[in-house]
Amino acid sequence: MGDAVIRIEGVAKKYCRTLKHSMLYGVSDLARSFLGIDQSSHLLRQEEFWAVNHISFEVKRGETLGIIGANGSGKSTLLKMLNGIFMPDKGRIEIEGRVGALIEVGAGFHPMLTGRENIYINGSIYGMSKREIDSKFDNIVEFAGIGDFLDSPVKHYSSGMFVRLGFSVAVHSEPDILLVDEVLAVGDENFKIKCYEQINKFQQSGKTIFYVTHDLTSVKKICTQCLWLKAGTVEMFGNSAEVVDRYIDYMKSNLTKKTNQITNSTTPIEITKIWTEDAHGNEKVEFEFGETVTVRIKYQLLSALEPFIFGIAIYTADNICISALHTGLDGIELKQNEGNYEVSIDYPSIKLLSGTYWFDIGFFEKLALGPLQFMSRVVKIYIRSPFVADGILVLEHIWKSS
Amino acid sequence: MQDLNTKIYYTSSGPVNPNQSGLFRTTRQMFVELVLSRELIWILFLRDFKARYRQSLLGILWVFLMPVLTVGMFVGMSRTGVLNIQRVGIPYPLYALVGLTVWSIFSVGLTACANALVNAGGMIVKINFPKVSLIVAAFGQALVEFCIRLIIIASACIYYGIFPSFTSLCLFLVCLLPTCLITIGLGFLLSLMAGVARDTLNVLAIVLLAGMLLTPVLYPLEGSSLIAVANGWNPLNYLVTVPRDVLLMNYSLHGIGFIWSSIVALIIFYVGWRLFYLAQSKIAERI
Repeated sequence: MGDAVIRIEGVAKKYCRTLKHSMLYGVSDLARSFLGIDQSSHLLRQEEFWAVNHISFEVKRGETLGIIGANGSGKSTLLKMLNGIFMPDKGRIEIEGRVGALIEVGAGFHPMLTGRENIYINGSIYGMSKREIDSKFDNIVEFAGIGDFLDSPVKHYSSGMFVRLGFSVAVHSEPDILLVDEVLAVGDENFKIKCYEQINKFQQSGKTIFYVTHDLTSVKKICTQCLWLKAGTVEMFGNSAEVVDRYIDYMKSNLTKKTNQITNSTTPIEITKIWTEDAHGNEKVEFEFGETVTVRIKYQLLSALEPFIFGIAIYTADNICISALHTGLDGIELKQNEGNYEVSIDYPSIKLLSGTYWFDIGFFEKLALGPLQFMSRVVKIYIRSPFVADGILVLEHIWKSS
Repeated sequence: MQDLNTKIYYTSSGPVNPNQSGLFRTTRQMFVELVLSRELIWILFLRDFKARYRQSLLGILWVFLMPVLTVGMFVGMSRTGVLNIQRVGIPYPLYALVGLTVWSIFSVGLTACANALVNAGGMIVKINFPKVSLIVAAFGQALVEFCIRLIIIASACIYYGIFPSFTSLCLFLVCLLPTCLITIGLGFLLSLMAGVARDTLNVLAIVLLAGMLLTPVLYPLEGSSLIAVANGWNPLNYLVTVPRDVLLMNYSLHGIGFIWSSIVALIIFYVGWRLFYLAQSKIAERI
């Protein structure tokens, strides 16, 4: 059996496009299951489609698996199947341990009842006994931070309080396998920090976590493995940093095809070529940590111009600007007459950590700083660093110890 | 509700627990699930109870008002001669009140159970928990209303000077057990059907009204009329008549029919429960 806590073998789930067919199939499925007739659930009927298909993977004890993908790629469906809310139509899911879900926390809260009453209700739904809830009650309230509102009806709660209370009850039900579905996005910063601490605690006690989110930075931060779903199938499964970067790449390449260029049509500057190369002048996009990266831009001035500057900025895959530089900053003059020109910038020994990095480039008016030509995420490089560290880059540093 | 370190498989035919096998496996799992859900049932019942009366001015008074108004209507119709009701040997209002009270276990319980899955739809698609608890907790509503109606019956008994013995009171309560079973059993089935098609709930309302009028709830149906003969085959007839006879007259002529009806009730209960247990894993996606 190995170490796998969850083993998913060829799992698929179908949905129905129209409510009418869904009802019809519901009645016939119900009748079939009453009569014990085989449901042939592996076949598609009219108006049905596979929302999730051909999914197989394993997750070991203590691992944290991020699940990412575009909207409608099957993330939540997969989570619901792991939780046993939906049964797969094909394949098999094998689970060892008590599964706790945070699929939209606050489910089961009754708006008319008070926070106190709802803690008991929700706790019981998650499978806790009354005694268990009694003993954890104070912790639940403290973690949720709802204070004086404990005895008010939850319909008077703010959405943040609602989610905090729900999350608090769910984590205190102490599951072996935690399913988190896009819930941390709602809370404020303080609460997020608490949640990450709690997730950290879960990880340290060797529990398994499934984490569905669009916050890719947090996937890199807390997940050991990552699953990328695309149209219901596994696109990539593996080390979370690699999967996330590839996913961002993919999303960007879809996006930038159309929208990467802002052109001022009256501007007589045309960018003709952009590329990256190493210290020896070889054009390439994959660099080792510490190599020199050169970005070269060829451009054409169609007529003489007022003084202008050239700017370049480097971004991480998740849109953090690492450094934005321009020629004006360093007092570099660019020729203003008609003609073909080239501008390049060297980044000697680039100390960025593993990942994908993108460049924005642009020409701007020197005084007004209005863009003459601007291209966002126009070129990318991959950097491979020999070690894993937190952060984006390694700053120049000197250790002293005494 | 899984224990630690248990293994479970989810397949297209529902969850499979590889640790359990053998004869009566499903039945045993059904009982285990029910026993493990007892606290959840209680808490869901309390939730429904508290929530129902919290934002209404008259609150729990509604439970008193409804049967008093219904019985008042029939008493009025019988007095003015609109409705010709046979003599029943006991004061008619008491007869109608007890009949209506027993019937209410069935009608209120069945309506509550049938709505249980639909009402909890949001919860069902987000959390995995034993859905049997929703149905049983919903049935609790019928028991609450029954207890409150008992108070009305007690007042009426005092007014008419009819005092059932303690034994007949106990026997009365025991005779209600099959009614509870048939209600929950049908409730299991109807809740699933309502989950798929909401029509069920509308049909149910009409059928319950017709059922009340065609079953000797508010008036006796005897003689050789078609309805009276048909009622010989109506289990609900015996399930309503016998407890009422036992309470108010201390004897009943329908013992055999009652025993057969109880067996039918037990079968419906088990079949409904089992089908619900097997289908519950597939209902979430249809609600």
